[in-house]
Amino acid sequence: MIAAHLIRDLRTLKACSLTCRSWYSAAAPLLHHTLTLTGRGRWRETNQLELLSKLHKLGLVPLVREIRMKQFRGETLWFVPWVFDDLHLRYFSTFSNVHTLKLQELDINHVIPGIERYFEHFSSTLRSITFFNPHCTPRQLSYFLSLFTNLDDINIRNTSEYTFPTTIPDTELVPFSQPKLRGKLLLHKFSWADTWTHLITWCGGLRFHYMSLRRSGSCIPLLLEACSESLETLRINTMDSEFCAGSPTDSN
Amino acid sequence: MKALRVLQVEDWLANFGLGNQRDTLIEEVFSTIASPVFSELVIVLVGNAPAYLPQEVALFETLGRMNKVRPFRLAFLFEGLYPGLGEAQSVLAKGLEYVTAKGLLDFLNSPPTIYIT
Repeated sequence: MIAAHLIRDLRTLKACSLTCRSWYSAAAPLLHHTLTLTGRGRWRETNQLELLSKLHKLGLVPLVREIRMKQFRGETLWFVPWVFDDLHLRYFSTFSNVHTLKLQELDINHVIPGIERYFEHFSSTLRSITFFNPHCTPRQLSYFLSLFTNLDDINIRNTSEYTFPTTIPDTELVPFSQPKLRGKLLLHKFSWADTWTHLITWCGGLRFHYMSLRRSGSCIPLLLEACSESLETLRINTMDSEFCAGSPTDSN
Repeated sequence: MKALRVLQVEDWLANFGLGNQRDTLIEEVFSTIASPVFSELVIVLVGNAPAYLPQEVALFETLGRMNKVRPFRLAFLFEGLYPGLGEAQSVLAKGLEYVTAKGLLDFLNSPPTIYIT
């Protein structure tokens, strides 16, 4: 219980874990709760994937609950299908307790052919996903989200129109499942109404109870209507003047 | 919106350049609320926004109009970093004292709440 208060103090947690076996048992789940894969430096992809094999060998994989994958705009993307050989893919697919993914600059377009190989093992445990500037089309994004049956929370920051040829035509993307989507939706500079149109069609509606919509004007009318029965807290920004162009009206 | 309890609004104060447009947006969203449990409208403040409170006469007129349609409790949520929190709280409290003395909050049944995060 005391260790839980130290969740942000990694230095102290590390010291605790070296004290004795019972302290190690208390500190280890907190120390290894979040795995951050950062693609920076020479041989970056090899370094990150070697980290996976080390975690696997030390038996720490089951302790990881959150994976953060960092890539940086303007730099070569390192989290791409061709860096995964069979061994690294096997290590990556052993993370069976992950409930949160935070993905920065993920090239969804190039991951989509064979996407199950990289992300299907998260499908039943994942509850929350965050994207920072995903590289994809609106439909590819909804397709990716449909992979996670128990997904409740979505946080998306920044999207820009994908101008490269798609690896699979959008019309051939058949959703995997109907994610629950009953938690929180946070959008910042997100203007792809099509993503929600697809999800609403596939899931038969959305059931978010909290929404924070910032600079996402074109999505607001659609989302408010889709969540009219479930939404308990709404956060909006007065800068979203686009909303004024066409807002939904409630029949009641 | 049939289950809404809380509406939070960002950038409502010191939002220069938008004129009445900011109020139009909020009033449009507000008009879609059909929830019997709606109870609170929260104005989210960041940075030095609390300092502009005494100048926001038009905003309080808008709030009064909205409150007639659907009564609510008013709250101010200040989101900021530690060093400025104390000062912001003090500026916000003084601003509220000022607008209360001016009668701009007479439409409320209870004094506004202040949240600090």
